Amino acid sequence: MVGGLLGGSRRSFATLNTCRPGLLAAVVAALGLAALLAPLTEAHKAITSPYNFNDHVFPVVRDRCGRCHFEGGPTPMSLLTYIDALPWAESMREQLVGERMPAWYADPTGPLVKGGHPLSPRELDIIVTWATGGTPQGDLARKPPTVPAPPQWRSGKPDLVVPMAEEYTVPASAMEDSHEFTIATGLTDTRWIKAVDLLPGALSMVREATVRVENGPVLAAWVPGYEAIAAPSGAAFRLAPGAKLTLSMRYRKHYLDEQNAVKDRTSVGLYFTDEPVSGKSIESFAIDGKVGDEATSDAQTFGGSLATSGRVLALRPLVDQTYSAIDVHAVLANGRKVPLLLLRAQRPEWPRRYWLAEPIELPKGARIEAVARPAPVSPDDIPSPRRNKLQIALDYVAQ
Amino acid sequence: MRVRHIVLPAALLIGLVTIPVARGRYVSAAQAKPPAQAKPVPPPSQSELPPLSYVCLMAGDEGVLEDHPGTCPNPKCGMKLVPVRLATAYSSILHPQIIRPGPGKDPIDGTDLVPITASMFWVCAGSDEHLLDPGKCSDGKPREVRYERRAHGDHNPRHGGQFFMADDSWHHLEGTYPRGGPFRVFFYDDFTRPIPVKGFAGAISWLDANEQELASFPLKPGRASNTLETPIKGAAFPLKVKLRVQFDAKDKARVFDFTFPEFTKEPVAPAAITTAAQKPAAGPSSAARAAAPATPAAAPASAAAAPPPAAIGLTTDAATPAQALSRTEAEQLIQEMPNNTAALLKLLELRGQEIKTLVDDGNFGMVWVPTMLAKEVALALGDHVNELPERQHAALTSAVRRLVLSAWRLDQFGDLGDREKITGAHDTFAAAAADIKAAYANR
Repeated sequence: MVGGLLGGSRRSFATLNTCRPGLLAAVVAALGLAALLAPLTEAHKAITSPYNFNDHVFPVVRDRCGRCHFEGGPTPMSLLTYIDALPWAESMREQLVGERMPAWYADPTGPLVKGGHPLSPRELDIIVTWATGGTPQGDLARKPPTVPAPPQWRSGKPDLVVPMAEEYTVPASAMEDSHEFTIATGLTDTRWIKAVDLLPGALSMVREATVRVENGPVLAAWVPGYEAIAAPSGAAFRLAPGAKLTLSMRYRKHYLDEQNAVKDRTSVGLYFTDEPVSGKSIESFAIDGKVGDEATSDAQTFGGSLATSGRVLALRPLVDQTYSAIDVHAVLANGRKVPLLLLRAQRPEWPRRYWLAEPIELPKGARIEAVARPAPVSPDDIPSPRRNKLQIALDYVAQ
Repeated sequence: MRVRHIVLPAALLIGLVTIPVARGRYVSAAQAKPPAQAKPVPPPSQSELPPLSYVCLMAGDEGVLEDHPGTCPNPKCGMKLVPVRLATAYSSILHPQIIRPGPGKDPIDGTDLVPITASMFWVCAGSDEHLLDPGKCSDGKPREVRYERRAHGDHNPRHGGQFFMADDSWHHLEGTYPRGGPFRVFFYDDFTRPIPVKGFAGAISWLDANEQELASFPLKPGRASNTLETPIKGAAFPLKVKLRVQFDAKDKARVFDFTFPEFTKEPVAPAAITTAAQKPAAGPSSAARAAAPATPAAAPASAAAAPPPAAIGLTTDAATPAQALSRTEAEQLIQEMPNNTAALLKLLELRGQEIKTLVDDGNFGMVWVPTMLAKEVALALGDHVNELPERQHAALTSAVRRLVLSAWRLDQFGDLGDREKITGAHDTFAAAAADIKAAYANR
């Protein structure tokens, strides 16, 4: 339908980056010469946004989105220039209004956590207003400065860098892939680890990585934009001499690489610290919820009891579908509830570790409970890779 | 900051100040409230012209609109952006070829003209060239102003019904229930031109007050080629109808919810001249009527007659239901947002009541107006966060964030007419508004 080709005022991914003179010619032919002479009738959104890119949107995307959305970064698009951001404006609006982005789900009304670059309500409104209201660029003489690419190791050079033994290739025939690697650390002495970072070999392809001690605790849950946050004072992971790491990688190619084989050789960076006074390593404890064959809208409560008293440092949610809210708390023997983490709009795609701003002491036998409320299942949702787990893991030091 | 000032339909006027609106917005004839005895409005002079906007003609990039010359964003295209002037114009519902620069009457049938967004240009006799400025022709005569319709520039219902846009942004439809039935849906394209229903299939569910289905009826093509219709046996008001329609066999079913408080009426010429304020709102729902000024004869929507800024939008009588703001009041409110939290909280409460009424009445197409206002009020309340103890900061910020998000969802879903989505967004909105109020109550 001619009208359909010309008429849509809302962008879609399907129309991005298209330059279709043939199509235009067909449309013009269909409409007749009058259409060419009367171009003023086409569908256009009006510029109603008082916010423009150069003055208002750029500072927000630089500070809140720029960790991932830079040229050559881990995401399919940079948002740091007007030309780069413009084709994605509608997508930005959808992602923000749908609470898919930013991929940081800790609710600030719950216990405070470290890191995160959430948008303030005003910042969020600026971007959506701009995207909805005509995407004006602003004064051309006030072009934003070029943002330099972030350093390879954002937290400084690690004390030890251990690369994958060899390159891994995701073939041209695959768009996504998952693979597990074992990496020897080469350590000859016991070392204590306060933080772990990742240096993806193919930054545009590595979507997720979990670094764990072989048959041991999770050292890092890496996703794009990851911040290597150090364990709090007095807490660390123990690495024994000769320890090996298990690196679980999830790859998804950049759309421009769809037809190409892409190689990756990722490195893990370890940051050492002194042995804690307690001499105890950070351990993990997990509670699992029920996962059905299909996404559900029924809320569920699940839990388990801590075998020892402990100091809870961080939580790692892993979910099977989108949840509008997940409330994780401890129930003490006297019935008192101690909030541990509150999540909003948690999605399966971006599993990460949330380090508590203040560790929480729990007595032996404390029951860890999670109440998970699924988000309404919408036929408009883009299907996301469904996981098999609904799990809340706690990282703690036994007392 | 350089802010664009494009003359747009009434609904977009608010956006010129602070509130943006979704593309393709419209106002109904009732909402527009044209002056009672509209005098002919001359075309704007050179100094009053809407600024030039620049658009890309490339298929797929029609949505691009710039405030300066340039090329289409796709570097492979290299096409130059084309200048246009976007302006509010007034057109006839029944005779869309009639477009005038200002409010007035349809010279054919005497109905009120309604606002649309159009592109404005000038022509000289004997030439097809569209000129972007007034001036003289080569023969010395002044150029004549013309208007052309734009996609999504006119979402005014044609048959007194409720008008929605499908989420493909191309199909538009209007649900009606004229006296004696049947329930009839008119289908249009993005220029609000009738489109035939060949290949369309649909059915309706007649719902009770609790949204439970009472009966369902398949739709059949009506006498007009752009309609589907069905009688509803035993229908009573308020009549709630859920429409599911497919535009072709492979297409997904799209859902639209209609609520008719009374029979819809085809627009007719007034029997005698009445003022817009005295005339019952032409919209289909009771909420639309509620949107009419409370004291119509004495309260024309003009800046001169507006109350002092601090009082705008604030109903002091608790027994008085929330009144919809006039355009002028809304515009002024945004410019002069109260600076004290008590007034802001009251404003938020009143806009919340207004939104609830619109949602309850199924008047989804108008939900965005108080919603966008409420969002601005909530953001202003968020700016006062330092008046609260620190322990309340996160609660307030979270609530404002949720309100902003739900407001944008209401804005989006209101266009689409899907009650389930609108209700879900409204529930979030109402909870967030209550949390904002609670945060300030706990000072």
